[in-house]
Amino acid sequence: MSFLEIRNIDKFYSAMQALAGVSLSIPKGSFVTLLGPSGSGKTTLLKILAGFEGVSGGQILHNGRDITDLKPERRNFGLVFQGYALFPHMSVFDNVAYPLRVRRKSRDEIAASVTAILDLVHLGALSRRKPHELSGGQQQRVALARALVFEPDLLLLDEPMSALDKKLRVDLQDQLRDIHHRLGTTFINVTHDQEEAMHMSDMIAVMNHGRIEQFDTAHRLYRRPNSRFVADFVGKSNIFDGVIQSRGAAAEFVADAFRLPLPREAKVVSEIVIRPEDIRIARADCAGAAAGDIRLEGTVAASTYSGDRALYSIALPSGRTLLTYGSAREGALEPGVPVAVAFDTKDCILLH
Amino acid sequence: MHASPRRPGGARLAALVLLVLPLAIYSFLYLMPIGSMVALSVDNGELGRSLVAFRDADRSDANARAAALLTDMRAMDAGTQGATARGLNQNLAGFRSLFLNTARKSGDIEPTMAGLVAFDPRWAEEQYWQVMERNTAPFTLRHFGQATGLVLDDNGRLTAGGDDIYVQIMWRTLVIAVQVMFVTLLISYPLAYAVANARPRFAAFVLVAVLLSFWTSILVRTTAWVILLQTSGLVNAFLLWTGAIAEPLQLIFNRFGAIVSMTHVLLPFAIIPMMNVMRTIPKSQADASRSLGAGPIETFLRVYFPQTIRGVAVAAGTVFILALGFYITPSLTGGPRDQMVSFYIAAFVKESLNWGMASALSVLLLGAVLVIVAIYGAARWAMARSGGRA
Amino acid sequence: MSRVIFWGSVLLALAFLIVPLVLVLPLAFNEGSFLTYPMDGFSLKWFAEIFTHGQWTRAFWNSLRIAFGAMIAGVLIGGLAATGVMLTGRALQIVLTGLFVSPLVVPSIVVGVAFAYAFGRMGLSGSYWGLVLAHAILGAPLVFLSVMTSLRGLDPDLDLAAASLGASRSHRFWHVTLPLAAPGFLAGALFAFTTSFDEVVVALFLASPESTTLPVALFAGLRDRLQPTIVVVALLLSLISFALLWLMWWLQSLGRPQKH
Ligand SMILES: Nc1ncnc2c1ncn2[C@@H]1O[C@H](COP(=O)(O)OP(=O)(O)OP(=O)(O)O)[C@@H](O)[C@H]1O
Ligand SMILES: [Mg+2]
Repeated sequence: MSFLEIRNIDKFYSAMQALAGVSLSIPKGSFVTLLGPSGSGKTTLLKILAGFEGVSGGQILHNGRDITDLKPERRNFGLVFQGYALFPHMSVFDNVAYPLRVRRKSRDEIAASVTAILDLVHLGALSRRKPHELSGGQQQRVALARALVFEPDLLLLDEPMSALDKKLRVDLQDQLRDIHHRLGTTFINVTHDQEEAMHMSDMIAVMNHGRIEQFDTAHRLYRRPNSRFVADFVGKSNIFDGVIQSRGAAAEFVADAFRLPLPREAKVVSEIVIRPEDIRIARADCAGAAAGDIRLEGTVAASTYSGDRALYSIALPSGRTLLTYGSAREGALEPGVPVAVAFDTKDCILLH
Repeated sequence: MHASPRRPGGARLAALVLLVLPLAIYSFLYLMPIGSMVALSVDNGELGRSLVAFRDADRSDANARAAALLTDMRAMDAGTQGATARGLNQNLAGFRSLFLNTARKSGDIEPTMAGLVAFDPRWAEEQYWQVMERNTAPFTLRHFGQATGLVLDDNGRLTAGGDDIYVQIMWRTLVIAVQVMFVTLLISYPLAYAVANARPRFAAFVLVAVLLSFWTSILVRTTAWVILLQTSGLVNAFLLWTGAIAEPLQLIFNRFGAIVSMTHVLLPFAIIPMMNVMRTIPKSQADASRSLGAGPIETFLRVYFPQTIRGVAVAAGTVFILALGFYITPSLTGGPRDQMVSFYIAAFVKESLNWGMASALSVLLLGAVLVIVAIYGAARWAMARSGGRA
Repeated sequence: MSRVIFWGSVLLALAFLIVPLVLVLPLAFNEGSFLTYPMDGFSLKWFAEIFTHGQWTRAFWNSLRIAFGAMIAGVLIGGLAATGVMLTGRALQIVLTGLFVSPLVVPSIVVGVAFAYAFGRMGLSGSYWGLVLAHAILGAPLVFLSVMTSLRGLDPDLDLAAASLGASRSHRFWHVTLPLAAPGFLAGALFAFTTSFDEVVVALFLASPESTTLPVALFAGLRDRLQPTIVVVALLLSLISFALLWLMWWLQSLGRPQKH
């Protein structure tokens, strides 16, 4: 029995189905991220976990206890809102003290806990300010402190970084990881920023159209996606459609640009995925530099230079394009330059 | 024509041209009438203009005073005599007959103190002369004195010795306005809350009800209450039918009727400002509070209500100001002991033609309203300066 | 528990808000002359009485004529004031706004006394023009506010855009700014019209028996004796108000696509 068990949740808004058979097992103390495009049902799932929305079907178990219909205030789950939802008429201190006052804690206890948690989020000096006198990042940390001060069993975060700029976001991601590490509370974070998800999470649940596509570690999601959607949504990828042709005992995957011998156990491969970093690239005139099981010729269609390397889009003779990274020490290759690309069979990801 | 930084000089001329007509109309048809009403409240009327010789006469010489009075009387026509007598009578009962009788015979009376006393012994009493002395100036505080119950004693000091009927009326006006304000706030809060927070269809329904009510004339809504609350009206008929009462209740022409109908009429004025503030409070605030462990009632009391106080204050001020000067509704649904200042102002104008008292009471009412508006303005200014949102 | 409090208080308050009118207005169709339920039967005879009775029809036409006059004068005064004030500096803007809006806070009984006295001395008392001007003063602040709101809400970029296309200042004002502020003028006009049409107190002080308005006649009727004709007049007044509210809503829905 895991810490939090989500079983077969359905959610309908009149005729619109926002969640379809969502099941997740969340281990205690883990940092889980719900990742998915806009409208995939992340907030809906979070609201159901927090108790603001009822379910149309399914169950939620917390330490084996059914909490599906429990009122939000009885769940003891902290929640950080997308817009923070700080109380504008209360100071930072009062905001953070709120959950403790509601729990009728003593004055001394409140002062001690609030001070401790504000120090944890580096806001000790600002406790007398009102929320509108704080920057976005500071507000976000107040919201975090407020949701953590009562030692919740679970912390839910709905896109906590989405309103912040890139630099601040990375800082706060580190702080959040750190806090998670120190407190050992279970975190469920919502985002549609896959970098953020990969950076922080132990486990990521990729959502699409109200379903969980895959629930796995970041590494497995990237290296072993189990659907075209996940492969496409998580990281950059080259996806090839093709057909399987038998050759005696062995089989071959035939795409328009190449053929790939398949391992025996793979029977129903419909697509293969190759990550751009697994493809080597070289100018056609020094073709020896690009070696691999499969070699293709093409020309540079476009390039994006990013300092440490360049991302190329290579036009293959078959008409489709291929994404790949190349060294850019001498500057990126110009569009139109003929190139050779190569990759290895072992790097191909087979989708079933 | 918007942002001031890029306004060329021509704009000032255009503004001047555009503003000439409205400013002229406001001055002549709005500010001047109000100004002349204020002047009227301290105007001594005929008294200030008819007793000119008396005003200039030597006070210590009784005979000279008597002669001057008779001179003034002879100079007046019958209308002026009547107006002057009425003015004096407002200060001292019985003066009218004394003055008119004397004035009618003023040609035959010997112009000395002895002559006057011989005509009517009351002239020997000092109080009549004091009243005339105090009231020959072109300006008088007599109306305000009567309105506030304050009188000038013989030493020229203000004392609360006068008739305090209008003080009682003003106090009653204040009490009714406060009562109406509280009942109105109590009823409008849930409605405003529903418009801002209920499910969209129900919220829209409530909003339409509020707007329809707002646009229905005050008089029509008052009419409905008169018909509902009369002795043979719907409310009594219903209560009799249910057997809750055996005899019809007196529901109108008393404080109950006045407050119920005024509340109903003023509801939209309270709902609209509250609703506007409530709409700015995001729903996530209540959700946040719930997730932090507060139940719905505690959430309302600690998180929601404090943020609506600004709207409640605006609603309270609006309703209070409107109730303070309310005329139509209380005059139709209140009893004789529930009439407010406005009723007496109207009566002074329409019935007793005492413009002085009507203006004085109006000035006091206007003053009260302006004080409240000023307090609100100051509060808003202070809030804007401190930058606080709550 | 909290739901019970919410629904209990909301439904009670809502009933208090709408039940009186919903109950009383249908009595206009009552056959009998008692203003109570059950009705004696459906009849239009009280309507007929109103329309044949010269006193009510005259009051109605007076009200209509006065409301039209007051609307036109109010739009002129309030509209000019608002456009003028928009062109002045900040400090003056605050002072002038205070002045132009102030008739809203002065109790109507006070305005009534002031007008009755001053108009009486000017010889305007009891006349059509006296009532029109008095009501125009009461309506002008509403026109002022709604025109100000729509001028403030205008996108300053539109003016800039017009300027960049080479439109002269006055051309811009007449052809860009004013047309865009038109919804404000229309809403203001409707406000001014209803204000005058429903106004009782000032009219009570100014109207002579010949220039009596419908609300004043209704007021007098209420003080006199409760008759079914009174409910009919109340019903007609409400219908006119609802028609105006609907017109306002319709105009706003016309204006909306322009804004965005
Ligand atoms: N109260 C509601 N009524 C009707 N439909 C809703 C409601 N809330 C959400 N939906 C619908 O449910 C679906 C899932 O919405 P949800 O807010 O969970 O998406 P999300 O994954 O959080 O998206 P985003 O990344 O944009 O926040 C959407 O199609 C949305 O339109
Ligand atoms: Mg969301």
